[in-house]
This record gives sequence, structure tokens and C-alpha cells, in this order.
Amino acid sequence: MNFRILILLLVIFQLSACVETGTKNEQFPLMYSAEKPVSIVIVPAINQTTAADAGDLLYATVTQPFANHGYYVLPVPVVADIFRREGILEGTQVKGIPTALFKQNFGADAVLFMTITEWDKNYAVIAASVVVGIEYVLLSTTTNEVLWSYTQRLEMDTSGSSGNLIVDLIATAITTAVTDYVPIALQVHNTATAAALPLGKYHPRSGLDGDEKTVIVQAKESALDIEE
Amino acid sequence: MIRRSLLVLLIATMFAGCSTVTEAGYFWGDYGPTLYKYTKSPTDETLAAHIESLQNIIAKSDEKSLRVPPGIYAELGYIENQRGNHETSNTYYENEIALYPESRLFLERFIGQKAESGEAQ
Repeated sequence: MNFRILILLLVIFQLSACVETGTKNEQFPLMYSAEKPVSIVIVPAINQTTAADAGDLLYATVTQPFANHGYYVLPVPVVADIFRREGILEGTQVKGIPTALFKQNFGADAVLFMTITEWDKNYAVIAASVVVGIEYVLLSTTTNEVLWSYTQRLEMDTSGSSGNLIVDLIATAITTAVTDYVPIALQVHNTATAAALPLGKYHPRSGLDGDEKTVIVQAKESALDIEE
Repeated sequence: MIRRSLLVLLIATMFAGCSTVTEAGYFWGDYGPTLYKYTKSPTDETLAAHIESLQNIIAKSDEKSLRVPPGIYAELGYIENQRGNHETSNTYYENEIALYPESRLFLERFIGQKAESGEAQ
């Protein structure tokens, strides 16, 4: 019996060793340097999924978590309208634009790109969920360097389990059709920023969070096809 | 007994009051839901709901002596400009710039262009 527990413990240790951690300061040194951005312009999401709504959902909810971390986020709906007038509706259209233009036209220190890699709804009999995968890349508009990047994959329960099987059965049937995805999108952003985003100027602990631990899951730069 | 339940109630309301204000000191109200609804289907109704949500954020922030979150004044300024209310729009833009000087470069252009752009639309 004791032997079994030992094995179990060993397995747990091994699993926990797989998660690489480091401090925010080590991971994102530029966010603690003179290049630390104050203002961020967020461009429409790059949607690689078939869920047409995912882009709008994640775009409408992205201001709050980034502002809550102390950054000045340029007004997303206003920025979106400016892009729309220029014929830009999707993030892929922004990829080729030199980042310096965001400095000149928006006064932004950094541009945030979001790539939605997954938005899969799963329906089971008594549970419904959505798996959301998203990659964030924050680029400096001065040096074109990646200041911060993070990959978030999250499975969210959309069934609202009550613990009562019959109630859940009915609830799932109803909610799969009319689930409000706004809180889910917000939760995805909140989880990602809480895990790894250094705090900015307007946060009371700005500059003091460098030693906080963070999980290392940086987005691949190749995901953006950054052209210098 | 009554005293204890009063205490519990007090603590409960204390937490309820805190939970809506973020660590950076922002109150967001219904911002996400009303913005998404307006983005998804821009009608007079969804726009009115979003304006109400933005004004509520300003009112509540003032009430709690909080800084109005980034972009709220700017959004209202943009909406008012589109409705032809240039004076109100100007004031909102100036409020945003006063709170967040980083927005100056972006917003000043709107203040300058105001009268013409309104008529051109």
C-alpha cells in the first residue's frame, strides 16, 4: 500500500516538473526596461477557427484585462472603426503594416496581436464546454521587438452545473443554444494576463512584480510571420 | 444573534462592494456585454444600452472617487461626434486626455477635425 502511494507521489512530482516556471522579470526583461510600454493599441484578432463570432468576442473583451494590468489601451471600438474605414476587418490584414505606423498614427508604444487558434464547442449529455486557444504577441512600435507573448489554452464549462443531474440535463439543453460567451471570452483574457502579464504604469504595483513566478508558454514568433 | 447576523451582512456587503472594483482601481460595470451586443448588431437600441453603460461607469467611478477606466471618455466622445454633438464630444475627448496624456496624439486629431468630419458624413 505504501509502495503504491510512493509511486503516485513520484508520478505527481514528475508531472509538476514538466511545467516550466520562471519569474516575470526573467521571462520578459523588456517589460522591465526603458522599453516598457505605457500605451497599447490592440488590432482585430486573427481568427484561424471556423467560429465567426470568436474574433468579435475576444476583441470586445480584451480592453479590461490589459487596462486592469495598468496599461493605457487605446479605445478599441474607435480604433476598430478607423481600421474599418481603411478596409481592415481582420488581423491578418494588419500583419504587413510596419509597426512604426502605430506609433505615428495612434501614439502607441506597442501593438497587441491576438491569434485565435481554437474555439471548439463540445456538447455531451450533461456537460457543455468550449475549448479556447489564443496566442498573444505584444510588439514594440519603436524597435519591432517582441515585448511579451503568451499562449493560452483553456477549456471552459458552459453548462453551469448545479450538481443536480436532472436540472443539469435541462440546463445544458437550453444553454448550448444561448450561452453567453462574453464572460467566457473575458475569462480567457483574465487567465492569460493574470498568469504572465507584467504590471504597467497605472497599476499600484507597477515595477514591483518582476519577481513573481510565471508559467512559461510563450507564443511562437513564427505564428505572426513578423517581417522586419 | 441579531448582532451576529448584522456583522455577517456587513461583511457580505463589504465584499460585494469591493468585487466590482479592480486592483488598478477601475469600475467597468456592464462594459463587455453592452459593447459586444452593439458590435454584433449595431442598432439604436444596442447603442443606447452601450451609452448608458459608459455613462454609468463614469457616474459610479465619480461616486467611488475612482479614475475612469481607459477609453471610456474617448468612446463617448466618438459616439457623440457621430451624432453631431460636437461640444459634448470635445469635452469627453479632453477628459480622456486629461486622465491619460498617452491618448493625446490619437484624440487631438478628432478634436481638430470635428466640424468638417461631422458634416461630411
